[in-house]
Amino acid sequence: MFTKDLIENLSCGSLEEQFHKKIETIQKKDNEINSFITLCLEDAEKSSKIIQKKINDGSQGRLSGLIISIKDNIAVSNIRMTCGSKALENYIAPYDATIINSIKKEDGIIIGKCNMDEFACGSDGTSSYFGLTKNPRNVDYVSGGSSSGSAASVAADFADLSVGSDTGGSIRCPASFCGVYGLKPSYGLVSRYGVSDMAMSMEGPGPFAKDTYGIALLLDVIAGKDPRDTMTVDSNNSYLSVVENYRYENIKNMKIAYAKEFFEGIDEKIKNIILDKIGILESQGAKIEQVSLPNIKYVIPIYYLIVFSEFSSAMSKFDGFKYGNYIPGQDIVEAVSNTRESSMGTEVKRRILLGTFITMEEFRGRWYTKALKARSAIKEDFERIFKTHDLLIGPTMPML
Amino acid sequence: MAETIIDGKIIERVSEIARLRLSEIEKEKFEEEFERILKKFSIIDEIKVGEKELYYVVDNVNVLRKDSESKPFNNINGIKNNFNKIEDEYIIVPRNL
Repeated sequence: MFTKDLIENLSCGSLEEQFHKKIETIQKKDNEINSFITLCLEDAEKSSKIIQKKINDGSQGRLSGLIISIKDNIAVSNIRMTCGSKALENYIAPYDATIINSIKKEDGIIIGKCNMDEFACGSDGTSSYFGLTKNPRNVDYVSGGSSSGSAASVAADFADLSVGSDTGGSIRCPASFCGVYGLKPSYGLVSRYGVSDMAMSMEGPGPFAKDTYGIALLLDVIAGKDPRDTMTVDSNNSYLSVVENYRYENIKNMKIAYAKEFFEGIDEKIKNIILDKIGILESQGAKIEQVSLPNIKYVIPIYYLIVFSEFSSAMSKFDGFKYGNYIPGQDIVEAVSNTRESSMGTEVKRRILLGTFITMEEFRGRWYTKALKARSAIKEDFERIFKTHDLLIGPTMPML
Repeated sequence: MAETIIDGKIIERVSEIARLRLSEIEKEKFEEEFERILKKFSIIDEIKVGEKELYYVVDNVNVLRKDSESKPFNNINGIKNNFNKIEDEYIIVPRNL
């Protein structure tokens, strides 16, 4: 059911009934899918009763009782927050992330915390300490990651909306694999206060939904300036009104680019689907043009070099001294080494070690500093395209 | 044959700095993998970055908050409950000496 119809149904039907239907579906299917690490059904039921009263007298917020799942690297007060890692297996978040505050204020019901690749390291949803997430569309396939449980919980109808986080595709990839909508908001649009950091110069939380209406609705709620995240900017746009006011005529005369590099080495089926869609846009009057992004081949090395560096620094706080999994040792160095050795998975270790290496005094000039500078080359490529075009389109993932 | 980027000694040093104990098997595995990954990444040597600026996402720097009365955090116990070892009001951490 579409998000808008869902809200209409909630406003005249019984929220409790909807809520219990969701729980039934979760209990029936999530043993196999594994999209949740922690469920918060008691709190959710309490809020559903409060929100039902608000609906009865017409004072409900914009999310009006929609069921929302949250990636487990985003803090929800008094609920366990693991980041998909043994390191935080028993960590209870002491406060709400800014975006969780906004969701609660607008009467969204938080149903649980979603499975994810450990500390968001991965793009297939298999590196979680709590087991891999299966794809609800076909359980023989992976769900994609790192926001694996967010995408799967929406696709399996365990939740109406979800919040994930995206640095280099962690929302877009699982959304694509699970056949739902997912958006990475521009950096600085959505507050990261209360989100466990992975690569602080690139990441940010963003919405999952079953349609563009749901994406825009949730983005309207979570976007905007937050004094607790100084990178955030004001957002006075209503994305929902953009979606609601969209008409097919709007496509006419729009200049749309697609980069030829996007289609190199991708699955033929995906290529044909995207080219078909481009054909439809053209038949509706859009001006389509093939362009080139010559520096795109450098994107993956530059991206990973920056991610490794920022990640290894972000992870240094997990030493087990104050909180989190802890293994003692004879002295401080041994204790930290033991703790980190036993509480982190292979992909996390790989990234920490590489990040440490490329930021070491004698190597950082060749790797880290160079990558930071080269980032400008990539930016210039995109700026050039957007000077003359309204949109740039391409496939999300190269394979099925 | 191009120069090697990673060797056993470097892996040892990195694991020491990163405070991450590695088994002998892990050391060998990572050495081989890192060499392969960084060889691939060497493609960035082709980019002429001489005059390019270091990239920053947003232009503003030193964002200062306005002076305002501080609001005490209202869930101190929530933080304390996560502590591994606590005595009275203090956290117990391993000895450094």
